[in-house]
Amino acid sequence: MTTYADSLLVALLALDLYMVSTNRLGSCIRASALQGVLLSALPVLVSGIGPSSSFWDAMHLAAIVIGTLCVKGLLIPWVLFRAMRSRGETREFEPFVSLHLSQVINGVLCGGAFWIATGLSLPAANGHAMGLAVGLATLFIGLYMIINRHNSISQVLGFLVVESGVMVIAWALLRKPSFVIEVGALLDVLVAVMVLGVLATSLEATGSEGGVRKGDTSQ
Amino acid sequence: MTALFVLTLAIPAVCAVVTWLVRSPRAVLGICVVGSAACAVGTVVCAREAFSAPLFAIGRQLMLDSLAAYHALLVVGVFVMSSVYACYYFAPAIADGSFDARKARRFGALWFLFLGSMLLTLASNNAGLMWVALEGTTITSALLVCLDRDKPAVRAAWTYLLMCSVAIALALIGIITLCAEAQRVGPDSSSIFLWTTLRKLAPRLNPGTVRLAFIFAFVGFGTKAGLAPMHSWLPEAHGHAPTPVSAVLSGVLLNCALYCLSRFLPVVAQSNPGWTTSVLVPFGILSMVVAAAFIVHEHDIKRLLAYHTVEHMGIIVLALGFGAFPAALFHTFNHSVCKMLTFFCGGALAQRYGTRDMSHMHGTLRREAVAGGGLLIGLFALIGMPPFSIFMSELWIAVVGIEGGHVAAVVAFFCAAGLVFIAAFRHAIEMTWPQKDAPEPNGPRGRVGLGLVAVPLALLFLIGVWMPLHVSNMLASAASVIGGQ
Amino acid sequence: MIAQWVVHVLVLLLFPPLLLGVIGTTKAWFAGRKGPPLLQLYFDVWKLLHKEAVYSRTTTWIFRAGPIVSLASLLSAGLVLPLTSGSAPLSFGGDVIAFAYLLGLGRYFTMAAALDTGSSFEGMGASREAAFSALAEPALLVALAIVCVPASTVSFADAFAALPWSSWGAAHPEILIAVVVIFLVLLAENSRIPVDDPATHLELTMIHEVMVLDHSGPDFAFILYGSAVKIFLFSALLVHLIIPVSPDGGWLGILVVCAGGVAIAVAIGVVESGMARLRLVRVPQFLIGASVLGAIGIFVVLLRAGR
Repeated sequence: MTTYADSLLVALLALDLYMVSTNRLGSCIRASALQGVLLSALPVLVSGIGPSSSFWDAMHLAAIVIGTLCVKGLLIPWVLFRAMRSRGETREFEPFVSLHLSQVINGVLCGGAFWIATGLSLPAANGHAMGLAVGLATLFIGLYMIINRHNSISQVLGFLVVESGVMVIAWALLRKPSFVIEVGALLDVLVAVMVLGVLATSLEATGSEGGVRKGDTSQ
Repeated sequence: MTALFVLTLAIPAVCAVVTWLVRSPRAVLGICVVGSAACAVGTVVCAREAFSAPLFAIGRQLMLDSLAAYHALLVVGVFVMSSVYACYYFAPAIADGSFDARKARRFGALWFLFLGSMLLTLASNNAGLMWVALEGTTITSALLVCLDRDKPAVRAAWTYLLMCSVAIALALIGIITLCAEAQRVGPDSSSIFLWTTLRKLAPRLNPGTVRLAFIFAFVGFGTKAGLAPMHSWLPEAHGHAPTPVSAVLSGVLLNCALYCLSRFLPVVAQSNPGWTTSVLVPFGILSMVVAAAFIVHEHDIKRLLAYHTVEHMGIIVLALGFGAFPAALFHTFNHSVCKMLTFFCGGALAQRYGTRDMSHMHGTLRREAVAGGGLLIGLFALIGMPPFSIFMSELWIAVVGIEGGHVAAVVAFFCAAGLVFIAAFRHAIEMTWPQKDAPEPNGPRGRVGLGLVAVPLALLFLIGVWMPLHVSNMLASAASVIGGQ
Repeated sequence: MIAQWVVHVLVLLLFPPLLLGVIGTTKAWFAGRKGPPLLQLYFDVWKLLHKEAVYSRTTTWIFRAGPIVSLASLLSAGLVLPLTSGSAPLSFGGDVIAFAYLLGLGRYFTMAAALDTGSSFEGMGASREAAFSALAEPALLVALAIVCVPASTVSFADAFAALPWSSWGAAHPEILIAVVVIFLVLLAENSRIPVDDPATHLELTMIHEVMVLDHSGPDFAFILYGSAVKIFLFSALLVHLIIPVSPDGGWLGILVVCAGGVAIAVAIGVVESGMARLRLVRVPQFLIGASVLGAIGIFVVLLRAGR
C-alpha cells in the first residue's frame, strides 16, 4: 500500500513538472484536473481506513474521495475552462522566467523540499516521509507558479497546486483525518476558484495597478 | 445560554437570506442595520456570560471565552456603526440609480455572510472550523471589495483573494502540523483539533515541531493581518473598496487574523518560552517602518488610512511580542474605533470632493464641518496625540517593552511612530485649511451623521482619560487567555 | 556460458531490423494503410550491401569511417548490455558508463561524417543533433543512476541482479520514473516523433535523416542497420527494467527480451501515430523535462534509502 501511495505521489510531482513547463492553458487545466483525480485516490491509500474500520469512518472517507473527485476533477476545471473561453485566450506568453529555466528551478525546488522534509523531525504518521516531501515540493512549485506567471488563469492554477500540496501534507502528517478540514478546504477551494474565475473574466489581459496618482479625479 | 449563543451565530445567515428577497435598496440597508443590531444584542448578552465562564456549544466545537467575547463585541460594534454609515454612504448612489436592487441585494447578502463568518471564526473551538471560517471571510470580503466592478477594484479584489487564500493555506499547514504533533502525544479522538485540548497538551509537545507550526501560521495569518512584507494587497483592497467595507476590513477583519494567531501563542509559549518575541518583534517594527515610509508620500486618503492600518497592526504584533497582552487588546480596541471613524469621515469627504486624492481636498472644515472636523481629530487620535486613547495604549506598550529589556525595539517604535506623526499631521493640516485658488468641490453632499463621528470620538477621549474598572477587568481576563492561564 | 554468449550475439545481429518493421506496421495500421512488409529492412540492407558506394571528392577518411565506427560502437554496446541472462559477453565493472559513452562515440562519428561532407544541410543536422544529444545525455545518465545507485554498482549485471521480480509487485516509484525517462530518451536518441520525424522529406525539418543524406551503398546499409540496433539496445534496457529476469533465465530471458522489444516497438509506433512533432524550440524543453524528472527520481531514491 505504501509504495502504491508513493507512486501516486511521484505522479503528482510529474504533473507539477508538466504544468510548469507548458504555456498552453488548456493542457495546464487538464493536468490540474488529473492531479485532482489522483489526489482523490490518495486518502484511500494513505489513511489506513479499510474494511475493518467503523461505518462512519468509511463513510467519511467515501465522502472525501467523491467530493475531491467532483470538485477538483470536474467542477473546478469546468469553471476554469469557462473563464478561459470568455477571455478568449488559449496560450499565455512566456512567463518572467523562461519555461526551460522554470523546469530546472522546479527540479531545484523539489530537491530543496525533499532535503527539508528529511531534515525536519516531523511526526510523519502513516509512515510517510515521502508524503511530506512531495507535499512541500508541490507547495513550493505552486508558489513559484503564482509568482512567475502573468496570466490570471495560470495564477489560479498555481493556487490549486498550492492547495493540493497542503492536502498532501495533511494526509501525510495527520494520523486521523479531520473531516472538517478536508470538507472545509474543498469547499473553500471551490468557492475561491469560482470567485476568481468570475473576477478573471472582468480583469484586463495585462492588468495594471489601479490606484490614485496625484491629480487623479476618480472616486 | 447555549441556545442564544448558537442563535446569535445563526442570525447573520438568516438575514443574508432575507436580504435576497427584498426589493428596494433602502430596505436592504435597513435590514443591514437591524440585523447587525440584533446580532450585537445577542453578542453582548453572551459576552457578559463568557467573561465569567466560557460558553460551549455543539459538543465543544464552538467556544466563547473572554478573548473571543472581547473580539466579538468589537466586531459587532463596528458592524453596527458601519451599517448605519452605509445608509449615508450609498444615499447618493441610490439617488442616481447606480446602487440598484441587484447590487443592494448582493451587498446585503455578502455583508451578513461576512459578519457571520467573522463571528464563526471567533467562536470556533475547532481549529479546522476556525480556518474554514477565516477563508470564508476572505472570499466574502473580496466580493465586497469589488462590489462596483470597475477595473481597479476588480484587480484589487483579485490580488487580495489570491494572496490571502495562499497565505491561509500556509496557515493551515501550521494548524495541521500542530494537530499532528498533538495526535502523536495525545488521545486518539477527534477532540484533538480543539483549542482547549491543544492547550492542555501543550507542555508535552515537541518544541521544534511547535516552532515550525508557528512559523507557518505566522506567515499565513500575518499576511492576512497585513504585516509587512506581506502587506502589498492591503492598500489596494482597502483603498478601492466602498467605504463601509473598508471600515470593516481595516477595523475588525485584521483583528480576526491576529486573534487566530493569538490562539497559537499560549500553546507555543508552553514549549518555547520567550521564542515568539524574536519572531513577532522584528515583523512588528518592520511593518511600522514600511508603513511610515509609504505614509509620507501617499496621496489617496483611503490608501493613507490603509497604511495606517499596517502600522497599527505592527504595533499590536509588537505588543504581543513584548508580552503586553492587555495593552495589545486595548490597542486593538482603540485602533478599530479610530479607524472606523476616520474611514467614515474620509469616505464622506471623498464623495463630496469627487476624488480620493488629498491634494484636491482643501478647506474641509468649512465645507463639510462634521466630516472634515471628524477626520482632523480622528487623524490626530490615530497618530497618537494625547489625550486620546491611542496615545495611552502606545505608551503602555512602550513601558512594557522597556521593562522587558527590548530597548532597541522601543526606540525603533518611537522613531517610526514619530515619522508617521509628522507625515499624517501634515496631510491633516493640508486638508483642513482652505487654499486660495482651490476649485470648489463638486460631488454630492457627502454626509455622515453627527452621531457616527461624535460617539467614537467621545469614546476614544473617555477611555484615554479614564479606564473604568469593568473595562480593565475585561482586558485582564481576555489577556489571560493569550497568556496561558 | 559459451552457448549463452553465442545466442546473445546471434540475437543482437539478427533481431533488430524486425523492430523497425514492427514500428512501420503499427504506424500503417493507425493510418489505415497496409504498409511495408515486416521484414522490409532485411531486404533493404541486403540490397544496399550489393550496391556500390559513391564518395564525394570533398570528403576525407572521416566520411568513410563514420558509418563503420557508429555501427561498431553500437554492436560493442550490445555486447556490454545483458540480453539473455544476467551477464553479457563483455560485462565488467563500469559497463554502464561504457554503454552510455559507446553510444556517444557512435553519435560523434556520425556528426563528424556529416560535417565532413561540407554541405550545409548536413551541417545543420549535425548542429541540431549535437544540441539535442547534449541535453539527452544527462537524462540517460540520470535514469541509469536511478537504477544503479540503490545497488551501489556501476555494472549492468549487478544492477539488474539487484532488481528482483518482486520489485514491481511493490510498485517502486523510482523504477517507474526510470522507465519513463529512458523511453523519452529513446524517442530522442532514435529520432522518433516527437523529437524528429523519420518519414519527413523536407530537409530543413530533419535532424538525423539529413546527416546521412550523402551515404550510399554499404555505408547506408550500416547506418540503417545501426539505427535498428540502437532501438533494440534501448528496448532491451527498458525490458530489463520493466520485467526483471533472473540471472539464470536462459531461454526465458531471450523470449522476454524479444517479445518486450516488439511491445516497445508497438508503443513507439503508437506514440508516433498519436502525436505531431514538437516545434524545434520545444525540443530542449522536452529533454530538460526528462532530465528533471530523472533528477526527481534520484531524490526519491535517496529519500527511500534514507528512510
